[in-house]
Amino acid sequence: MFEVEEIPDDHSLYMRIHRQFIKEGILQPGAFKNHGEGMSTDWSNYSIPSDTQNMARNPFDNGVISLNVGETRLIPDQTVIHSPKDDNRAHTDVLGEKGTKIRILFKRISKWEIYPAE
Amino acid sequence: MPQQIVQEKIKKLEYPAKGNWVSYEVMPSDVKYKAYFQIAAHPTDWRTKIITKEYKYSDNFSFALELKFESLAISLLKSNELLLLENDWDEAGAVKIEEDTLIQAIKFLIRYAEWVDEKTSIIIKSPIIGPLSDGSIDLYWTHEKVDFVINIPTYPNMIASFYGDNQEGLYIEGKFNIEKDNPGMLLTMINLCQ
Repeated sequence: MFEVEEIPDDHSLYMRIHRQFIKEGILQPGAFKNHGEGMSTDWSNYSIPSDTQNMARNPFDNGVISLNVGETRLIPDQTVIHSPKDDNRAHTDVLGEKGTKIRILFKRISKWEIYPAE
Repeated sequence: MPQQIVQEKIKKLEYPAKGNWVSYEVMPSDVKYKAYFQIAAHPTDWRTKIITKEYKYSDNFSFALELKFESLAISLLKSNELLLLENDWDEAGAVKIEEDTLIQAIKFLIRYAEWVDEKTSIIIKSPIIGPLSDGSIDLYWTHEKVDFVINIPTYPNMIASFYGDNQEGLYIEGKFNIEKDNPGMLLTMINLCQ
């Protein structure tokens, strides 16, 4: 078991984006939803974007975006919690409701690291 | 194009009163999407004009729209690709998009577009229609700094939520019943995305 750590504001979170969330070349706010309790991401301290992509069942159907941790914490009601798994020390949850406003705010702070293959 | 259409399979819908336009229903063979055209022709005037098209969305659902909404109609038709998504389509446990949910989104957009046109003569821009992992649908408009999204819930839920802003202090946020309400304030944000 890995130790739960505090994540600094100047670090990044990597998040997988399935190609269905890209329409007309535009990332859709719908990509930013909780699965269970939170939105799954990987902490940049223990991961690189290609690691996140390769954890997908079909990596080429998925891209990867990054979220700055400090900017993520500025989005209302969002909490960044390091939640390592046995097979993924980087795993981090972003907890908090993801309504229409929150999803737009997440879209605005996201940056493409790996765009899905055409 | 209307003259060409008239040469194809046509069905007269009504008798022409002298000097008036008469409607025909036409099914041309070379349209991109399967569509029936309703056209109008004058008994003594060679010109014809298309009034409405009926679009076949799926085996269970068709919709009709005036020609001026053709851009919207094409967006709506494209959204039926979402029906091909199966459970776990995002590789993270997403549920499939049910046809009833898509149909209620389409019915809302058609009703709202026609209402806006009737009240303001504005033809609204087509949104991007996207799936969410919980089976609901986002209608998304974006232009430069403006983002506006309406979330259509899974059928039979009827309460949609929306949010939009221009990053300069103007924002709208709320909920409405997609079967009953025509929130005029939505138009403010949609217009900013034109």
